[in-house]
Amino acid sequence: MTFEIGLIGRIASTLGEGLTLTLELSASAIVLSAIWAVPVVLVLMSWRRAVAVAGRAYVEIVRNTPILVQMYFIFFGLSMAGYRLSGFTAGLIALTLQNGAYIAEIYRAGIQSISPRQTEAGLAIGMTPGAVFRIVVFPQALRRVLPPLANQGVVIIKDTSLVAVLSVAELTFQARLLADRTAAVYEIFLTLALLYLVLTTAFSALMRLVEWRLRIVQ
Amino acid sequence: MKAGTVRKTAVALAAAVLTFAALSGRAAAQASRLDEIVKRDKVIVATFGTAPPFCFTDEKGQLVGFDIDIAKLIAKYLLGDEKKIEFVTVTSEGRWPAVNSGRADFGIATTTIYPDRALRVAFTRPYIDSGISVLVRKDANVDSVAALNNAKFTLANLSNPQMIDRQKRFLPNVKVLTFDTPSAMFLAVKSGQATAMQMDSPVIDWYAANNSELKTLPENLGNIQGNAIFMKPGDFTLWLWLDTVVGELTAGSRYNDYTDVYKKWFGKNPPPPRFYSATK
Repeated sequence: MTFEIGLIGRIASTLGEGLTLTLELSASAIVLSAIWAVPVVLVLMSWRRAVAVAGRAYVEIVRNTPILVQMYFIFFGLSMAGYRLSGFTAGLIALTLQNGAYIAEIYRAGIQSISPRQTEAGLAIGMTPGAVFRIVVFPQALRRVLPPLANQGVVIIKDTSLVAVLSVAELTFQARLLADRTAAVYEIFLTLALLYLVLTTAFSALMRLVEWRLRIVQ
Repeated sequence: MKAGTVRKTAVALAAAVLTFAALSGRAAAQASRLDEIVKRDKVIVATFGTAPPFCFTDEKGQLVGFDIDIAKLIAKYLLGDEKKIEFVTVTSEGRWPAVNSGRADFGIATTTIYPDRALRVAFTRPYIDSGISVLVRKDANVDSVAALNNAKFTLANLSNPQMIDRQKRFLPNVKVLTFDTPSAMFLAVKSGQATAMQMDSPVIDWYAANNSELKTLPENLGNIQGNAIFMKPGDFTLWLWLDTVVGELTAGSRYNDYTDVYKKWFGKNPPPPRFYSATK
């Protein structure tokens, strides 16, 4: 087995282009998923049964089918129906739809983990339901959902690599092309793995910093 | 200890070391993957699962195609039974580590010989000619490569550098989409994400024959090429055996077997075994 360390220097600029696109895609997907999960969790926790059932159906369908298949449906399937989306857009939609469902469940768990007695107590002393949520439930739930949210963010960063199958020239795409050109698979895929490790570790560290800043000093 | 004894011991030690080195050297030279295959009684072959008509998966989930049949013939010649074979399906760039890591004995995956590839893997002589054809949607109203070379059209490439080099040379103005399997390229053309795709001529002809809304452009992109079996470099015994078998298939004692397989997948006879008339 040959291992040519100098090769990594020669491919750095191409990998750099891919890295930029991976960063754009990861950041957009994380932000959009976290936002999209808000209406989803509202629907899931609705008092109206029909609405809640519809929300549940959405979550189960997107959560229980592979994201790769969803990407193919959005990219190729919609194109057959006449809506031609770019690979980037199709990939971003698939990432948002799926991770939005996961994050909605994280939000729900966070909200439901706050004892209903606190809500009852708030209402009993004359707070409006809105104020109870804003002042009592939300600040506590936010702190509880941060660790699983950080987890989901890491999953999103890694899942952006799947968008390579839709001809999006992100990091994995560039690495595969380079590997095919040079047949230097060990050098290239090792570099690729390290780059993802750096990205995910940096993101985790950032989220832990946010957790630390929001901590409640006892 | 006397000086003589020391010297004798040293000589004996040196002789032992030398003998060991010589023996292990011989062992290394002799150990061919070919012996391992025979001992294992099964050939392990890397191939694609999505490149009709060379190597693809049929409705029953079975790997079929021209390359698959050639691989089965090789298993039959080597182990006496075409069923003594295991296929490992790989992606375009996954072909090289599949053989170089030892996961597969060799690969047969509609693989074109290029000098830069030959640096990292060893090729046999070609077992089939190949050119690059272009498959287009009929609704694009394109009849030539020149007409396709327009910014309003999109070309689907396979994720290998030869595709990109060819596109830059023959179709510099088109937009490009790049996929990791021929079936994804085909899906792009079929769904309208791409106007056309470039691929080995037999693959393109097969798609055109099976899809009435698609057609093949009359011109080829570039030179005639050779598709070959590839393996980890350095194992001369295995390479020689494989290369000999390819020679026997395409132009020698096994030409009948080759003709049967060729006719089965391409509906016509292969090129004759000799450029001159062999029988008078």
